Amino acid sequence: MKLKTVVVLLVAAAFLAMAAGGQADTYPSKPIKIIVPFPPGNTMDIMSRLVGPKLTERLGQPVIVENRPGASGMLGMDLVAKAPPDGYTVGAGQGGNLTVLPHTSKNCPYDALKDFAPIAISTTNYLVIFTSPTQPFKTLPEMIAYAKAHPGKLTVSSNGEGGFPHLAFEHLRLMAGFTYNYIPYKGSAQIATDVMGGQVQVGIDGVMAPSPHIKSGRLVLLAPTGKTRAAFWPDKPTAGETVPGYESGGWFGFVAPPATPKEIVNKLNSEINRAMKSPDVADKMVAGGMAVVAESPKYAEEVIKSDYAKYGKLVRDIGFKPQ
Amino acid sequence: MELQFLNNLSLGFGVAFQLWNLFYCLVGVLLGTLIGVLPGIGPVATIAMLLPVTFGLSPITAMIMLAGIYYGAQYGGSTTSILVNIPGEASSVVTCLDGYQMARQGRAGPALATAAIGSFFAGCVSTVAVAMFAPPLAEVALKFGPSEYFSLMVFGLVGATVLAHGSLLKAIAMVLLGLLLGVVGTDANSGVLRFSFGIMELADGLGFIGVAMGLFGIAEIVSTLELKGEREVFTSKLGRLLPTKEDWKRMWKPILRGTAFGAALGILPGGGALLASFGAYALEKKTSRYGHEFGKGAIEGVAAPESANNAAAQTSFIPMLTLGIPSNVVMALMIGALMIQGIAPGPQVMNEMPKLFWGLIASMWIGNLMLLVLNLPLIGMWIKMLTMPYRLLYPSILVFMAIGVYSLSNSPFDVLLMAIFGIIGIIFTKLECEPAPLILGFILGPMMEENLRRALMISQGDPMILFTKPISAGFLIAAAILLVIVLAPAIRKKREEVFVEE
Repeated sequence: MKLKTVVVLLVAAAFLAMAAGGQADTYPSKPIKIIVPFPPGNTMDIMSRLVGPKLTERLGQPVIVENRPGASGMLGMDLVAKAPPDGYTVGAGQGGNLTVLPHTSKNCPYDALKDFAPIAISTTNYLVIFTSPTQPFKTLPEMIAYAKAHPGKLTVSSNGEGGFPHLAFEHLRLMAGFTYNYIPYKGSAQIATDVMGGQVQVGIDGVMAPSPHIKSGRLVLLAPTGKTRAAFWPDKPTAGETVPGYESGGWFGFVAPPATPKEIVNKLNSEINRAMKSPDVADKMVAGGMAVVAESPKYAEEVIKSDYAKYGKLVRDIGFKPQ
Repeated sequence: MELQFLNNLSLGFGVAFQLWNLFYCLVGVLLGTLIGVLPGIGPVATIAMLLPVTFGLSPITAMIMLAGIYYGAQYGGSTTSILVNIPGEASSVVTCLDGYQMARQGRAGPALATAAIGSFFAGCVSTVAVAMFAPPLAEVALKFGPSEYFSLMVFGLVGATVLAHGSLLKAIAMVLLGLLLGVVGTDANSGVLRFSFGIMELADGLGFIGVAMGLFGIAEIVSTLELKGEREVFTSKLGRLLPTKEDWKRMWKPILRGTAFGAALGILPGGGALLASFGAYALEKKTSRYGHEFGKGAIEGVAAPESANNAAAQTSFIPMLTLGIPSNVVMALMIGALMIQGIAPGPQVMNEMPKLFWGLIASMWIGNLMLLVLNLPLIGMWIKMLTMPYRLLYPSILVFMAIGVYSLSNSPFDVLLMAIFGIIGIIFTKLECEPAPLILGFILGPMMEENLRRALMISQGDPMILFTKPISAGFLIAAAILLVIVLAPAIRKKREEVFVEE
């Protein structure tokens, strides 16, 4: 008899809790999923896995990282775009799949500007242009001079035709007026290996993978592509110091499905920013060559918009045919 | 020099024998064995899930555990290959060929013991190889560019025709079919989607695990269902657990050769471990006195590839530890784990943190010993699994396979893919076509294409680059010789004797 009452009360309580779960002020009332559109181990994945436990602590609900790799990140991002806009699905986005691929891929299933509610830009990074110590050039001006003296001969490798680093090098080519032979690769490790082994002359890639080799002297840094000099190599002139006006940087951040309630987006924004700023996360990001950003959702929206326009124009300028 | 080496090793063992490190080494190899035995659940998913756990450990302890998972999985992976003909990963595909046949003849015990002993031996030898030759060997990996890889794979593919124990024509057809399946997905050079039929999931190609699980696993389960009477034979004859004296005599040489083969190919990024196990098998089949028994339960066919893939798993640490170059996805994850700890992998690790470097190497030897001690007594248990009624065993294997395949990228599409390839696999079984050459073509095809096109882009279209580079030319010449041996009419006749069943 008594037991029965307890059971009835428990069931009633459970129903009440479920009903309450639908309201925004009780968000989150169930686990939140961060979809990382890349395989485990990549920068975006590591960042999400560092932020996840911090969010779990603060929000009182488990925050789970789910890898959904495929099609250069388009597959996972498409899942985010089509997920219910209730704040329980968050996508880990970056410059490549939100602002470059929509212009370079014919098959991009989403509209980067309409299909996402930006939450936060959390880190920015830059690319590095590097070569091996055995090559005849040691600086970016020397590389450009070499490329001009040997038209179309300089071999340059990056991840995938039409990817972000490829476009960044095309941009440099356009502004500095030289030609080269492009060799597409499928992974950062392979690029570093083949530049080291002298199979290709130059590589352009995100700073994280090549930086240990640059520090050990197996690779030579020609130039970082950021707006300002890199904290790792304060003596090294940026590409913009050689080719005035040139700058190329990427970013990593978080987006939600469109129509996710403003309050939820704001809540996630402040919690993600707080997590990113905590020393144990921030230090690891800085050690990987990134800078931590903690701005508003509005800021994230503007960055996506302006980068989207920038790469749209670049793709048209270099005459790249979307594949 | 000698003294230096011994000093280094004693430093390493000092670190590895710390209680905490021993404990995590055990945790790693236990987990590894477990996920290796569960079909489809591989080390990649496991290590990815455990990455956050390692943030709280010291770098050396984290690396010891992660490494344990990796080589532990290599050990465990052979168990399902032998018992139920389901390869856990690419490098244990070959083990299915003879291991499963041995199990069917009631010799699952000796097969499992051979795999464990071969792996242990290979693990010990290659640990010493890593310790002694890591720096100079790493330089070899740097010599391999696109043209060298292409030629190495041509050699591997020609060697693959030897794998078949049915008709040569069918083997070639299966390799070609594999190459064709490998074409599916995004073209690395132009970004064009090929044969994806508008399905986004196909943009990265067909997943290997799904294809292999379908072709081997599902096909095997379904075809066993057809043989009502014969199943009794398989389960009633459990036989002895350990190899006989005759077995020992037959397996020690293949273990030696397999170890050498695997240790050499393991340092090459890419398909090193896979090529090593295929290569070691082909070599044994060509040279062994018992060549005619291959594919029908020859112990050499288990000993050689198992030693080779374990040796390769160990030496694949060389480029990672000395150059910071990952030779496969697992190594890439371990580099990620190191970077989170604030350690940049590369040549400086050995000098700046000798404790990490030598401690990890010493722990690999300890881990291998743990695996042997762990696995030999387990053999009896695994074999008992075969006495489980099939109505319980097979549905549970199917469920584990589905979970494993799903966990690869959390996508139901991969499960569907496995089911489709299961049906294709059943058709192959009916037609008596071997899936192993298809798998080799499927994996090597895309890598060959990528490297050939890259080589030609670097040379601006001049195919002579394949012949002017000495390593590349060497492999092509070796492939040509092998081809002549296979095709030459006089020898060919002999081949038919050896290879055609009945």
